[in-house]
Amino acid sequence: MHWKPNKMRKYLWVFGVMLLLSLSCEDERCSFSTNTDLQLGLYVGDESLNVDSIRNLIAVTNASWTDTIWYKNTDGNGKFGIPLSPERDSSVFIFIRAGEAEKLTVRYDTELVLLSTACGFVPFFSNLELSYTGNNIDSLQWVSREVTNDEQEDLKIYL
Amino acid sequence: MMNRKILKYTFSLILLLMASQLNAQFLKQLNWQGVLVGVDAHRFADHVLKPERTAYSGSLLFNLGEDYFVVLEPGYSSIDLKQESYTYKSKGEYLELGFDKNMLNQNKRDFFGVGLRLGYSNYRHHAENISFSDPLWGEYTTSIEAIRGNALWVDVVLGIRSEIVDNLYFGWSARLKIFATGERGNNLIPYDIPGFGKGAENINMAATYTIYYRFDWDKNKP
Repeated sequence: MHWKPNKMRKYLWVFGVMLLLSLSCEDERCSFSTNTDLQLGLYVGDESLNVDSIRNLIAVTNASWTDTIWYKNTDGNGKFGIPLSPERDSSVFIFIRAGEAEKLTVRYDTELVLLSTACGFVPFFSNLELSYTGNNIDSLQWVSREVTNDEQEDLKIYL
Repeated sequence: MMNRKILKYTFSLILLLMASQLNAQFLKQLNWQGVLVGVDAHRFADHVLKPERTAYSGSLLFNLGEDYFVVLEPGYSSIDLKQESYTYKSKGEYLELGFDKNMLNQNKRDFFGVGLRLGYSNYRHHAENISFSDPLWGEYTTSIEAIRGNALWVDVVLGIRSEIVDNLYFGWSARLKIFATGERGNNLIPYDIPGFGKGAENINMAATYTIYYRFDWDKNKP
């Protein structure tokens, strides 16, 4: 038995150690978004209207909630998120604008995903369907019928 | 009765001799060079870096011609996670089958090349006491009973292997694993599919570190 040093062996060790370091550093702390809210985009069909003044009157609530979500136009993109219940296969929201209430019912399938050991489980939602009463909302357009932690817009709501 | 037994054993012996002769001819035709038996050394580091995981895998590389290897890689993996907000357990086996092509022009007992594999895994997993806390929906705790799943994937390999001492090799490989098809089950996405990696992803990167021993085929044997 004898040791066989050559140039290739040197590269073997260097690349191997680099690969080990790059692939073993994970799960120390939660580095993923755990936000799996349904991301809504609010649009106003009539461009002559003041879009912000219409959006700023919007609130969303649910019969079992102790609080209400108010739309806050923090970055001017008309987006906000509402949480879907992971416990049920549908969530009912009351969408209030200028004193008028709109009932939105969202139906979905839930899958639990263990994002990482540090992040724990989050619910992902798929096969989303939505029905609404039509008091305030003109029309809807799905961007994606799957809600994950990507925080991308899922649904366009035209007022 | 005794004659029938002798006849049976004689017939079996002739069949065995014919098979070995055919095998020797077949191996010669394939230009059979030898076989490498490997164990994945990276898994030993997992005991320190990822104590929740127990994994073992091996490799069998049949060297055909100067440049080609038919590769068989079986493995086993289990995960046992107990956290404040959940308990998760999974276990399963996998098998990858494919080939490697050596791109070295000299020192061909060493290896630097590419490979392609088809992988298949069968696994079981379940989760208990998963608790969610939402300021609007409140607290919610659930459990998911054992689910069986399977997965089929393609594994693209870039690897290097070098003879450290006579017939003993050390090598690593970088892997790109592409999910092809499989039954992941409803309600619970697998955290880790044995051999494939993260179950929520369709493409995973991975690395293997393997120690091999080479058995050379004696071409002078009949």
